[in-house]
Amino acid sequence: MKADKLLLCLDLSEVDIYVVKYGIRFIERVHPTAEVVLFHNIRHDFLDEYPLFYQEQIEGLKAKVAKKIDEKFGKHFREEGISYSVEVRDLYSTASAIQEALKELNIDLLLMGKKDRLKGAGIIPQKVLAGDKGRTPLLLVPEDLKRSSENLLGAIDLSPSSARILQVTNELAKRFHSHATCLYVYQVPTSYFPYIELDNQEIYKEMRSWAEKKFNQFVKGLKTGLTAGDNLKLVKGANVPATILEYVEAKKLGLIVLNRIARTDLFGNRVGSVSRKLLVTRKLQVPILIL
Amino acid sequence: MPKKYFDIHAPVFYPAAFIILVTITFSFFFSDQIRYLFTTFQQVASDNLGWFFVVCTNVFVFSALYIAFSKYGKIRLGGKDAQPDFSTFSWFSMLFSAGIGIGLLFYGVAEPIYHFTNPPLPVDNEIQAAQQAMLYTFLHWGFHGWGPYVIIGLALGYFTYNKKLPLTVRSLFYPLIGDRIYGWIGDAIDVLAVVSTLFGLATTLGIGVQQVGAGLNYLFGVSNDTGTHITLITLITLAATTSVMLGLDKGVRFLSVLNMRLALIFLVIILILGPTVFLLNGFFQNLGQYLNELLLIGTWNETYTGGTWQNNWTIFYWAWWISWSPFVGIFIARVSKGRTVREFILGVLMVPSMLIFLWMSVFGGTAIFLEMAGTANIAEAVNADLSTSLFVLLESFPFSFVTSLIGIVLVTIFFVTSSDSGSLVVDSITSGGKLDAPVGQRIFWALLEGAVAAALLFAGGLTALQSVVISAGLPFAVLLLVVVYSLFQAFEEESRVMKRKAESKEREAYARRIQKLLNSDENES
Repeated sequence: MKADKLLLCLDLSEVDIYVVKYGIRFIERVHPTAEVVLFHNIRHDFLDEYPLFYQEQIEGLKAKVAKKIDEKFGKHFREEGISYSVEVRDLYSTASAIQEALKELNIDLLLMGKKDRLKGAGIIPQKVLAGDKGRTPLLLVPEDLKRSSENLLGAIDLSPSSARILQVTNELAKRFHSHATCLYVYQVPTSYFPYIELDNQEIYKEMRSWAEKKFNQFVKGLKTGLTAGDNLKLVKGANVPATILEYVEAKKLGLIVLNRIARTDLFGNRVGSVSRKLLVTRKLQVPILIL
Repeated sequence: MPKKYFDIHAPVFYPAAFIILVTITFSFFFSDQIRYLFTTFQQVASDNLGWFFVVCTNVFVFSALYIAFSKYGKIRLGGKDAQPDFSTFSWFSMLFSAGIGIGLLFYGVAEPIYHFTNPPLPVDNEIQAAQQAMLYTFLHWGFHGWGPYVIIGLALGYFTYNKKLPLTVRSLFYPLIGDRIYGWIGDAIDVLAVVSTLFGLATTLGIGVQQVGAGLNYLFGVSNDTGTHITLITLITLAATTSVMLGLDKGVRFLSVLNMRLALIFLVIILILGPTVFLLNGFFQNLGQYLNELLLIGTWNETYTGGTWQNNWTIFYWAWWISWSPFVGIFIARVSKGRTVREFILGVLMVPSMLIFLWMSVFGGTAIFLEMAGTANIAEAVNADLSTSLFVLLESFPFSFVTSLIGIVLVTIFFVTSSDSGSLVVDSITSGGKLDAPVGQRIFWALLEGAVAAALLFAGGLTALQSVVISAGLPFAVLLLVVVYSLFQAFEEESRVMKRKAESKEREAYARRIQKLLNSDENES
């Protein structure tokens, strides 16, 4: 996974420090020579009503905000010897500003905070993903970030797009010196008679056998160290996002990797249902990397 | 300091009282002329404007459904933090009680059996006649009938609880005319609402007393004529006003709850004693047929048949419900605080309708069953006098004396409670939205209700009642169309305000963050 240049989106809330600290940890392990852009979009249309900002010319305000961001967060990067710059824009839409920046600055990876309780632009990650034609990976850092292990989880559905998840998960696991789990959440098809609920073991064996075959087909082409026996896990669950989160919590995993869509739907929807639900869930306590 | 006997809003009270008193006077002293006037008006209105009533009721129903399923459905009556005053079960019970009344007892048997023997469209056999009978009965008592109540109840609930305006009809026009609702325009609107409500109430009371008269004739041989009816109105109205004078409001409310329970027990008795399986089959079949043909019959105008059936039934019903709408609307608004708009509309449209469908299926279905089986000649009785239909039906069952007595008691108590509630509503409107106006005023309106019913019965019986309701219903239908428009305006504005509030919070939070950053020390992180 390419990570030469990262865009760290700051919205000036308490979650920013989590994004910065996790971003630094990520860079140190994955690409220590990466370049970071600390990004903020000023919504000056939001500020027009406030007397304090009446007199501010926008360029002056941008410069002040950039200076403060540098003062507040730059030291963390300087301490680790990570090259960084500050970019402040003033577009009417933060999502559009981010999308523009991704293209103009040739960004390889986007980092954003995910807020549950704090007031702010919680909808922005969804909008960015939905409108990003370049499909820049998004690393979402929750405000309730718990320090878990470095072990990773790649959520796969064994469609062709799962190959990318396997590849990235494997690569990150090597960089993190950790273990990669590839999780497949399955649901017994109701039409798959006579395999009904009571036959748990039998259906599991069938699913496992099929999943291993598919998994092996993927890893064969990728030349990873992943094996079905060691890395592939199957869990039954009707609600895929909830099952993923429960598994991560139970195994104390540190990062979830998944695709934004398995396939493009009829409306050209760029954010699949699983990734969309994980984006909005309040229970997220580990970062997710959406490819 | 509260006034002792009268605390009126003069520009509404006097004109409304004048119109009613003139109607009463003319009805008693110039009966022929008044009968001619009302009959001619009814004929002209029904013949030329029947389509208008049909359009109105469809507009009410479909506007209500649109609002329910739109973004406006999330608006809560009383504000976003309001909690419902009653549990869902209690709320449903109260909506049920709004649907049960004198009309249901009177027409529950009469209407299906009448349509069975006089179907609106040509039929080939009894089965088609029975199906048509229930279909058109359901039309008159179903969603289209509740459309006006939903619109006015919703509007009253919203403008009273969310906009803190007085609980009167004039408040519903605030989005259109602003503070002019407090001027002569608002007064005229309230006068029309009072007159419409009173005529609607009087029709109900008149029909009720006809049924009591028929029951007394059946049970005790008391002559069932206008004199008896007027005597009954006098006695029952006096009973209702006495309860008000003695502060027995709580007693009336208790009676109201008791009466509803009695009505439901009555329903179950007939269901059990009657052809139970036939009735249960019929209920579901009738419901399916109604839902399937709702659009067709809801827009039917008798265009190509050129008959007058619709004038005598559908148009009368639409005008009756429209003229009742302030009364029922105020009641359902008062019990629905805390409900979302969606809950309100779907609850008010569906819940009472389902009970009424069951009622009609049980009572009407039983009558049709007996008629088809040749067991009872209810049709002949109904064609002669609609008010006897219930008692003729009950004759076919055991304990008919007891069940008929129950029927009479039910109608009488409904008369008392309707009169009591009706006078409260009219009183509220004529005192500018007050709910604690002096007792003297309520007594005045209660007496006037009875007097109007008596006068109209004297002037021309059921025909006069029907005519006057159409006279009142027509202008009020126009008003209701304007209320629909006013509601849309108000909800759109509310939607915009909610969106602005959400944006405003986001802006404030962002401004605070920027300020905090600019004020921060470089060592903070």
